[in-house]
Amino acid sequence: MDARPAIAADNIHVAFPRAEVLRGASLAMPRGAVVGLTGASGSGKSTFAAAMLGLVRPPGRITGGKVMLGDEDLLALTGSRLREIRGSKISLIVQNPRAALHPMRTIARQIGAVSSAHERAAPKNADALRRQAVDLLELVGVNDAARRADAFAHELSGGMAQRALIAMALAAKPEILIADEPTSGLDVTVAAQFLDMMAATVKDRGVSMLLVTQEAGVLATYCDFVAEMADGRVGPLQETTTYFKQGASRPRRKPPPAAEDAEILVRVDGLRKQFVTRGATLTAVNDVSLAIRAGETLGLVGESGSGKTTVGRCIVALETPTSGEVSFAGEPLSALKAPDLRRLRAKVQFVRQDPFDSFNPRWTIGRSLAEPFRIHLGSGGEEAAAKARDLLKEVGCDADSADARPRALSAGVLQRANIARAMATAPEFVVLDEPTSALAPSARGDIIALLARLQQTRGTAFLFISHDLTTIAAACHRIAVMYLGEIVEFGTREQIFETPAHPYTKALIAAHLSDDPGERERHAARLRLEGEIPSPIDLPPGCVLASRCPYAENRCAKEHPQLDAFADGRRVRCLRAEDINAQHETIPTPSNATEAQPHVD
Amino acid sequence: MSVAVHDAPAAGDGLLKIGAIIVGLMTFLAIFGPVIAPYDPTAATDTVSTPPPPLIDWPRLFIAQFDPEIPAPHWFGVDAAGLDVFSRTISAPRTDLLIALTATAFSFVIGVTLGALAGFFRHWSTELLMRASDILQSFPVFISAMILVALAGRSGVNIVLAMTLLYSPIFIRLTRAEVMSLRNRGFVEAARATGVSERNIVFRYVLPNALGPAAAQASVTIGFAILLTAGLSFVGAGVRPPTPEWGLMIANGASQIVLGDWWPSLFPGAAISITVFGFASLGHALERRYGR
Amino acid sequence: MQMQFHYVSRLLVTVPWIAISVACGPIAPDRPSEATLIYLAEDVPAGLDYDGPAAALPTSQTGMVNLMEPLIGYAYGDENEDGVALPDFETFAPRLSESWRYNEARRSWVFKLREGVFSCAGNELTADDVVYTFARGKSVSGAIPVGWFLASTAGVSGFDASVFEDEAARVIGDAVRRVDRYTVEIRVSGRNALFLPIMTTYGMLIFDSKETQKHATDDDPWAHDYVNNVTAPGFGPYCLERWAKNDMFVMRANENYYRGAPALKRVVIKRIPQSSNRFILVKSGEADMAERLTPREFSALADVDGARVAGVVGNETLFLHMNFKTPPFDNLKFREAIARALPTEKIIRNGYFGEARAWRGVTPSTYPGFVDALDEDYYDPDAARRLLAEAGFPEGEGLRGFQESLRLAYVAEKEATLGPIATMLQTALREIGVPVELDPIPLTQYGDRQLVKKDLPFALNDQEKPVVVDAGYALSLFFASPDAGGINNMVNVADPSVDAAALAAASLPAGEERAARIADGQRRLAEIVAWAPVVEYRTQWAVRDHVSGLTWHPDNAVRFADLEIAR
Repeated sequence: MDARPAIAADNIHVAFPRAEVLRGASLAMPRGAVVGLTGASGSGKSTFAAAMLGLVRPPGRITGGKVMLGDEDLLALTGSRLREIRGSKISLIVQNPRAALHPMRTIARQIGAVSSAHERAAPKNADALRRQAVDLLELVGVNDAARRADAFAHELSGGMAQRALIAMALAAKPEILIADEPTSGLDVTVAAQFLDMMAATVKDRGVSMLLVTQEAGVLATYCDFVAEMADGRVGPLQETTTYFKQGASRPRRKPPPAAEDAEILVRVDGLRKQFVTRGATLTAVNDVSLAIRAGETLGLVGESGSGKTTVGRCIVALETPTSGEVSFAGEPLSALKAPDLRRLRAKVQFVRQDPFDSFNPRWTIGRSLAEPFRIHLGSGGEEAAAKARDLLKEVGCDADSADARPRALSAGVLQRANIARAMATAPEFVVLDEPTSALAPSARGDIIALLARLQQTRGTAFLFISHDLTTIAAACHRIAVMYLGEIVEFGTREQIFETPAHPYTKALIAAHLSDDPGERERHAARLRLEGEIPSPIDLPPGCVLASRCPYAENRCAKEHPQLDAFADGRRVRCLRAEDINAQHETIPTPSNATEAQPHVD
Repeated sequence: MSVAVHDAPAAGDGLLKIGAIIVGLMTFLAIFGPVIAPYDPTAATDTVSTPPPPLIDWPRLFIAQFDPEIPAPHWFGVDAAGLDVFSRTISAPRTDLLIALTATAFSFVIGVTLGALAGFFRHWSTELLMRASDILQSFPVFISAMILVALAGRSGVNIVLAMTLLYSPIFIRLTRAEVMSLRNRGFVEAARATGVSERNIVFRYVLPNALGPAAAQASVTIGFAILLTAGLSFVGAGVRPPTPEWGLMIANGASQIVLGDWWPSLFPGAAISITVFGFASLGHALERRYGR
Repeated sequence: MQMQFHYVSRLLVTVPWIAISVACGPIAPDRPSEATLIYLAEDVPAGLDYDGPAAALPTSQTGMVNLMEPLIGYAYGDENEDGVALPDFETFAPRLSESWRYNEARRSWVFKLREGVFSCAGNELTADDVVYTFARGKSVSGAIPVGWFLASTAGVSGFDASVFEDEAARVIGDAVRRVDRYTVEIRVSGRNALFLPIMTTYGMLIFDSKETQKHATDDDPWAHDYVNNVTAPGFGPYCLERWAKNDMFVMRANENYYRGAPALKRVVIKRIPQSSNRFILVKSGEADMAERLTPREFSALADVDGARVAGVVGNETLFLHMNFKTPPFDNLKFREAIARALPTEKIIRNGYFGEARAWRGVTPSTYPGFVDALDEDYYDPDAARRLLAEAGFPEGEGLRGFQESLRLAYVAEKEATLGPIATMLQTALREIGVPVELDPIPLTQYGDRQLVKKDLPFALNDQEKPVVVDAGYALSLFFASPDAGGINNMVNVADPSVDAAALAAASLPAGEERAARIADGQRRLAEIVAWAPVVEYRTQWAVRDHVSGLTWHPDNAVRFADLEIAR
C-alpha cells in the first residue's frame, strides 16, 4: 500500500472578520482509510472539511496553509485546474442534503452533470448519462432507482436526498471523499442503513474518506482513525481503539442510585400538544403521562420528531399544552398566573442543547449567571456577581470565565456554565434537552459526571431528554421511549437496555452505534426497521409503528394500543408485546420476518 | 453549508475608509464650519455675482492669506445676494447635519422601540401600528414632507418632526423583523425559563441584539435626510433664507445659471453629492462588516 | 432577454429626444409673413372683466386695455432715452370721446363721442354703450366692484355705499344718461379732481353693449362669465382670436380701429412663468418682447446683440412696510431708526444694477402732486443707531422678545428679485443691532395678510401701484384710516391730519389749495414714517431691436397698437 497520505493539509489558517476559526490545522489522511474528524460544535470541523478543497464560506478567507494532493498544493491552484480536481479527485458531501441539491433539476441530470464535467468518467450521450445515474443510485441503496432518478429535490426525503448527494459525489470516481456530518438530520434507524452503505461503497472502491461527525457511535463503528478538533487545530490522528480507551467515556458508567421512596415531584397527565400550521394540525405529543420523583433522573429517549423536546418544554411551561395537565408538587401549572409562574421558575429550570444559543451573545457569562440571583433572590449587583463566580467554580469552570463572552469559550465550558445558571436558584427539578449533543464525545462524560455530582449534593431531579442511548444509559435511572408523540415503553435502565420489549425500542437499541470499537461485529446482525417515519400530521389510526414494524399484523393497523403494564413492572404499548417477547431466539429481519413463527408455550 | 471560491475579493474596506473620511470632514464642518468661514455666511458683501478666482491663482491667494491686512478671497465666488459662496457652503453642514442627525436619531429611537414591541408581541395594537406604518411608507417621502412642513410652517423644528414621522417606519420594520427572528432564539427562551419578565426580555435581551440592521440603516438614512432637507429648501418648504443650507443655495442659484453664474449652485450641489455618498458608503460598509 | 434590452435601450434614447422637441415646440402657432409680435409674460389674462376676480392682476389688465378703449387718455409727448414715449399727466387727449366739458349748473360732465367707431363685433359706438358700462358697474354684480369704486371715487352720482345694502340702488337711473346718439351726460357730486384721471383707467373701459348683452343669461345678466372666459367686447385696437388660459392669448388687429389699423396684425402673448426662460427666448430671438425679468437679467441683456432694454421710471416703488399696530413698530423712533438704516445706494447698485433711484416720498414721484418729503442723505447708520437707542433699544437690547414681529416678509415667488435685497437689508439692520429673520410667503398668503387681516408686521413690498394718477388718490388709498376711505391701509395708519388731507384730495377741485393740502399730507406721512421708502425702480421690458414705439401707461401694460416692427 502506498505509504504516502492520500491528501495532507498543512497548517491551514482560515479567518473570519471577527475571529480566526482555523489556526494552523493540519491533517494527513492515510490512503484507503476512513478518518473520523470530531470535536465540539464550533470547533471548526466543517470549515476544515471545506478548506481541504480550498472552499470557504464568505466572509471568511483562507489566509494560509497548504493542502497537498499528490504534488500539487490545492490552495495555490486557481481556475480550471482546481475545477478539474474538485469532483474528480476529491469530493465533498455537505450537511444539509436538500439544500445542496439544485431545486429545479432532476436528480439524474445533477448526477449526470458531475460526470460530464469530468471527462475521464463521462459517457457521451444523454441516455448513457442517465443510465449511469440510475446505476449509482442503486449502488447507494435507493429503492426504485429508475423512478427516483427523475425526481426533484423537494420530492425526496432526507435520507433519499443524502443518498443522491453521495451518488453525485461518487459519480466522477474520486479518490478522496469528504463527508461533513452526512447523517445529521437523519433518523437513527435511517442513518444506520445509510452509514452501512457508505462504508461498504468506500471500502469497495478504495476511496479515502474523511468523516466529520460528533456521534461517538459513528466514530467507533465506521472509522479507522479519529482526530479531534479543538481551538482551531486538529489533534493528533489516533487509531480508533486508542482514542476510545482514553476517553472519559470508559469505564461505562452508571448513575448513582436514587432514593426509592421519594415523593412524586412532577406529574404529567394525559399531555397532548398540537400545533396548527397552515391548516394542518400537527400532533407533537399525543397522550403522554409520567411521574418524576425527587432526586431521580428520568430519561426521555426518541428520535427527532418523537415529541420528546415538546414534552420537556410543556413541563417547564415554555409551551402550553393543548390538553392534559402538568403539576409540580401537586399544583397544576395551568392554575398559575404569570407572576406565580415566574416564581416557579426558581424551582423548575431548563437547560438547552446548544450552549451558544442559550446565552445573550452580548453579555458576559458572569452577567448572565447573575440574572437568576438578581431576579429570584433579590441579590444586588456585587453580591450576584460573586455568587455567579462561586457557581462557576462549583461546576468546574475557571472563575475568570465569568468575564468572557459566550463566543470566547468552548462548547464544553459553556454547557457547564449553562447548567450552572440552571442550578443558581437551587431548583428541585431541571429539564435538560439534549445537553451533550453539541459536545465532542470526549467531553460528554464530564457533563454526565457533573450532573451526577449535582444530584448527589443537591438532590435535584432531572428529566434527561436525548436521542443518544449512550448518554441515556450513563445518566438515567428510569427511561421512557417515545415514538411519534407517544410513550411506547417505560421502564428502568436495566429493563430497557438489557431486555427491550417494544419493537421500536429493540430497533433503536439495535441501530445504536456503540461507542466501543469492539462491538463493531455484533452490530451487523440486528433488527432493522424499514422505511421512514410517517408524518405527525397524519397520524395513523392504529399503532403508530404499524407501517414499519416487522411484527405487525392486520389488527395493529386498526387498533390503537394502550400503555399496558408488562410482566416486570414496566409499561409497553404494543398489542403483541407478550407474543413478541415470549420467544427469545430469532430476531426477525426483513428477510426472514415471514419465517418467524410465534412460539406458544 | 454554502461554500464559495476562496479567492473571492474582500470588498468593503476601501468604501469604509472613504465613507469615514467624508463623514468625519462633514462633522468637523458642522462643528467648526461657521467659525472658520472667512465671511459671515448671512451677511451681504459689497459685490454681487462675482465668479470664483481661476484655479491657477489659488496657490498665490492662499499664501497671500497669511497677511491679515488682505481680505479673504471669495474662493467659490459671490452669489446674487452678495453672500460668499464658500463661507455658506462650509457653514451649511451645521444646518443640514443637525437636522439630519436629529431627525434620524429621533426616528431611530422611536422606530426601534416600536419595532421591538411590534416584533415581540402579537396584539391588535401592533398590527395596527404596522398597517399605519405601511400607509405612511407608501407615500412618497418628499411630497409628504413638503405637505407637512407647509402645514406646520417653515422652521428647522418642523422639518425635523416631519422627517422623524416619515423615517420611523423603516426602523420599525427592520427592528421588527430582527426581533421576530430573535424572539425564537434559544437565549430568549432561556431567559424566560430563568424567570425574566417579558418586558425585560424585550428591552434587555432582544432589543440590544436587534439593533444591527437598524444601525446600518441609520447611516444611510442620515444621507437621505440631508438630501431631503436640501430638497425641501429647494422647493421653498425648508429652512428660511438666508440660512446657509445647500438646497436653498442651489435653488437661489438655479435662476442665475442662465445668466452664466454657475458657482452659486455647483458648489453646494457637489457638497450634497459628496456628503450623501459618504454616509451611504459608511452605512453600506458597516452593514457588510457587522451585518448578519 | 437580449432583444428586450436592445429595445429598451433604444426607447430610452428616443424618449428624451421626443421630450425635448415637444418641450421646445413652437412658441406660437405658425409665424406667418404678416407682422406678428410674440410677447412673453408671467401669465396670460386669467379673466377680462375688470369687475371680476382677475381685475387686480397686471397680466389680465394687459388683455383688457388692448381689447377695449377708454373715453379719454393722456397726451403723449417726449420719448425718454430708451425710446419710450411718456405721458403728460397734465394734459388729457381724446379717445372714444372727441370732446368733453363740465356743466357747472347741472353738475355734470358731457362727453361727445366719436362717430364711426366700430367694435370687433361690428357694432358702432353710441351713448348707449357708455350708459351700459356705468350701469354694469353700479350693479356691483361682479366679484370685485372696481367699476363702482372708481366711479364712486370720481364722484359720480349715486355710486355710494347704498348699492350694497339696497338692491334698488343698483339701478343706474339717470346718473348717466344718453343725450343723443353720440352724446352722454354723467352727473357728479362736484368738480372732483379725480374724475378725469379716473376716466383714463382700465376700470372705465367702455363695453360694446350690444355684443355683451347678447351673452347675458338669467343667472348672469351682465355676462360676467362670458367676459371672464370668452372675450371682452369693446372698441379697442385688437380682437381676441384665441385664448388658452395659462398658456397663450392671441389677438388680431381690428382693421376698423378708429386711430388706424395697428401695424402689428397679430399679437401672441405667451405664458412663460420663469423669468430666466423669458430671458433666454428674447436673447435667442424666438420672442420679440418680454416683461418682468429680474434686474440681473435686464442688466445681462445689455450685452446681447439684437436686443435691448427699454423702460421708464414710472410708478413702481419699493418700500418697507411696518405695521403701526405691532410692537416694536408702534414706536415712531424705532421706525425711524429702521428707515435710516436702509442702504439705498447698495440696493440700487447690487439689487437693481443701477436701474432704480432713491425714493424720497410716499407716492410715485411721476404723479402730479408729488413732493419730496425726505432729506437728501436720509441713509445714515449712525443716526439709525442713535434713534434706536432713543427708541429704547440701545444696541438692539430688548429686541429678543420681538422675534415674531422682526420677520421681514416678502412674496416668495419674487425670491429672485427681492431675495438679495432682503438679504442686504437684513445685513444692514444687523449692523445697527436689529436682528431680522427673512420670511418669504406665498403670494396668496401675503395678499391675505396684507389686505384682509392687516396683520403683517414687517414686509418688503414692491407691488403697490396706485391706478389713478394722482398723489392725493394714492394718499387716500394707502394712508387714510378705514373710516376715511383708506381701503388699502396696510400699515394701519390712523392720523387725523392725514385723514384731513385725504378728504381734501377727494372733495376739492384741482388747484393750488388741493395741491397744498396733499403736500402737507405727504410730509406728515414722512414724519411719522408710515412707509420707509427705499427706491423707485424702472419698469422695463426686454425688446428685440426691430421693435419700436413703446409707450408707457400707468397700469404698466403694453399698448400693442403703438408698436411697430421693422422688417
